[in-house]
Amino acid sequence: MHIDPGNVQELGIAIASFLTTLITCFLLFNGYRERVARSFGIAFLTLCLWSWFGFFYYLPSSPDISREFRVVSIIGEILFMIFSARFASIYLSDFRPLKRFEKILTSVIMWIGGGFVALTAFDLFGTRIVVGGMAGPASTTLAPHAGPGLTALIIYYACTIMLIGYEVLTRAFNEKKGARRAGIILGTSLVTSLILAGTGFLPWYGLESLTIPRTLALPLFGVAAFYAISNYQLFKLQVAAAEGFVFAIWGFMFFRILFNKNIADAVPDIGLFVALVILGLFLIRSVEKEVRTRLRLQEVSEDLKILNGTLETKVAQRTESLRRASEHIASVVEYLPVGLVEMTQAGVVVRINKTAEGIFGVSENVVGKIIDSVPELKEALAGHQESVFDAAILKPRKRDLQVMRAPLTLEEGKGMVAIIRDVTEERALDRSKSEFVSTAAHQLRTPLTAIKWVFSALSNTKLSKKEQQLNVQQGIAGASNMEHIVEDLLLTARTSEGVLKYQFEPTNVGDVLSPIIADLAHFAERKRVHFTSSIATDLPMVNVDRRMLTFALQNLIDNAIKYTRPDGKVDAALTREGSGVAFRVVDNGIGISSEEQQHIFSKFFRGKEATTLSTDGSGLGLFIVKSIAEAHGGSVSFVSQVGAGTTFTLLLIGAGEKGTTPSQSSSPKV
Amino acid sequence: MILMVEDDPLLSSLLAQKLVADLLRVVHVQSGEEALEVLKRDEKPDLILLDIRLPGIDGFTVLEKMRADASMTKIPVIVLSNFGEASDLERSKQLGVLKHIVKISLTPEEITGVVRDALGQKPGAAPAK
Repeated sequence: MHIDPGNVQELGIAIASFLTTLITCFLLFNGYRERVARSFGIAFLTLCLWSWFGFFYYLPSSPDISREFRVVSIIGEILFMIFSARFASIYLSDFRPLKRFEKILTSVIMWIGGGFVALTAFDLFGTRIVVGGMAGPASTTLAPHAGPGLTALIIYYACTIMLIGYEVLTRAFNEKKGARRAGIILGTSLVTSLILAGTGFLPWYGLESLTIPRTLALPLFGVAAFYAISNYQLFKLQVAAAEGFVFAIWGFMFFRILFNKNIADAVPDIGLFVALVILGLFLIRSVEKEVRTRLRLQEVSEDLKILNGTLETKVAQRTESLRRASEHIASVVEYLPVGLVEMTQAGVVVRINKTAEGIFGVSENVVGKIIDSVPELKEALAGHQESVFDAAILKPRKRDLQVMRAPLTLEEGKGMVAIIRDVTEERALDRSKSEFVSTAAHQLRTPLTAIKWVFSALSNTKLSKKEQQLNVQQGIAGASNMEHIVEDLLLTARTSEGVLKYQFEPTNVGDVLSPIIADLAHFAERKRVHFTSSIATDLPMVNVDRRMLTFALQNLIDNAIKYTRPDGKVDAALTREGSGVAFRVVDNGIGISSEEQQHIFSKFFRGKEATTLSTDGSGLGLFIVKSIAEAHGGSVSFVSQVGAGTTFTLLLIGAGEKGTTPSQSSSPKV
Repeated sequence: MILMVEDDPLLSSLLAQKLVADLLRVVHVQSGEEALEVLKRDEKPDLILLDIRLPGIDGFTVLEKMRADASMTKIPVIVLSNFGEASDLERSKQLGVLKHIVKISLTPEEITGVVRDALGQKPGAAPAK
């Protein structure tokens, strides 16, 4: 056999066949694992059959042999139709499940195709059903005559093209942008190239056709193949390059074999070709492996990058929330209502919160400095081994502290944390309570002594009845005095606890005041103080708790008398004030200094002058009076001047007045 | 003559009753200032019964003033007070009192006995001057 390089047609088909084989190899090598690519590869394999035997047609000088080759080529073409239809069906089913009619159509096409294959196969054995006879040798005849079956075949061909086009483009138009474009190109290039290839039937009917349109069919197939491959990412550059290189060498060898004058000359070339095929396969295999490994590494590296990214994000998030938590704790520690100081064993301050800075009057940053820079703190901690102890500082202010100490492991090593509570108020309160209790106890001693002495005197049977009576009266007076003190104590206790229940009733305050005037007048007489009182007649009704108000009125008059020197004056007046009532006690007694005036209503407070004049007071009276006034929705106030006297005013609102209504159960503020 | 410095009227009357019934002459004042006035007179008391808690200057201050005055410093003093804390006893001791009695712990009769002992007299005896 020989080929004539001058024959463009032949050369064209040879090159076309070669390239088709190349593409088929590409498809099958790279895509055999993947269904769609594999089916496309198989279709291309049948195309090789069609193409190569189309080429072989030109080689024999005998028209009969040429015709045989042409028959095989047509069989190849029919097979190509069958497997292209199969590919299109698989391609669509890869995207969505096939509809019933689609499945049926594909089966029909494939079975009819099978029928045509059988029919055409008969033509190998002398029949002329599809392929007619040859007019002359292949060099002069482009194609055999058309057999009667060929027309049917052409119709079948057209139907198959339509089915393929439909299936591929159906998928394409339902895909998203990128895949859609690829699918459209695949579909249109497939259909167009099939139509163009179909023009090859024209010479069978004596209609000459240009080969050029038919030759275009191959590049279009190539495009279709390329998209099929690249769409499934089978196209790896390095592997493709290796394959291309190897295929090129094979091709070169192939043509070398072809251009031999006879088979005997071709033998060495055939041997070399076989060797090169084996070598080539090895080369492609190893390049593939390497590329696959590298790709795998890349994938893993990509995954790692993503993972790393996720981790970074997570870490950032965690760090952020840790930071916020840490800041939160730091700010909680900073503003705790107790002082907190952390120190190393060496005495270096690691941390000191705002409260501690306030207690010790620290104005600069002492963190990192040794404790000597906060001398008050050092002193407070010095000399104590226990973990909880009391301390006192004089600077910046005189304060009593309670210090709690515990060992702490710091970054810098062993250390200590100290919690410092400013307990000045607590201690002061404790002290006043103790003082109060002592004072009350002492006060109780006096009337108790009186009672005891009275009984002792009474034991003297020689006393006259009159003397006895006098002693008894004196004893009772002593007991009353004690009762008074005990009442005060109880009232104080209840006031402190805040469990004072008031029972309000509309009352004429005059009726509350009158009963206590007599006793108070007696008291005033004993103290040699001139006492007067007056009650207005036009007093409105006021909601009062009788018992509490009695105490308040009594206390105010009592104080006035107590804190006025002998021969002084005290006047108590109850008058109408607006829609309410005003109770005023005026004295010309010792008065209250301006510094002490601000503390006058405080619990346990006793002015210096008052203490000097009468050690009797508990310091609670005015505190209780204020509570009572406020519980009644009223107020108590005073004006005073040392040495000149004091005027106390208690105001109560009328029963009908809106606004502040007295509370039934009041817990006076301590 | 006993000088009694006590501001509580009931207690002073109960005690004075007893002292007088035991034939002691009693001069009663109700404040530290009055006591010092009396001490300035020519007739000095044989014994002073001194309460601590007084209006105006307290008993201890009176004692201090007495110690500072040569004419008064030798007069024996019995402190009669309901203040019985250790610190009060200590102060009394420092100021050289004869005895510190907590009122509530003794009856007037017992107190009279103590006074008699301090004067070196038997109960019921006539006053020295």
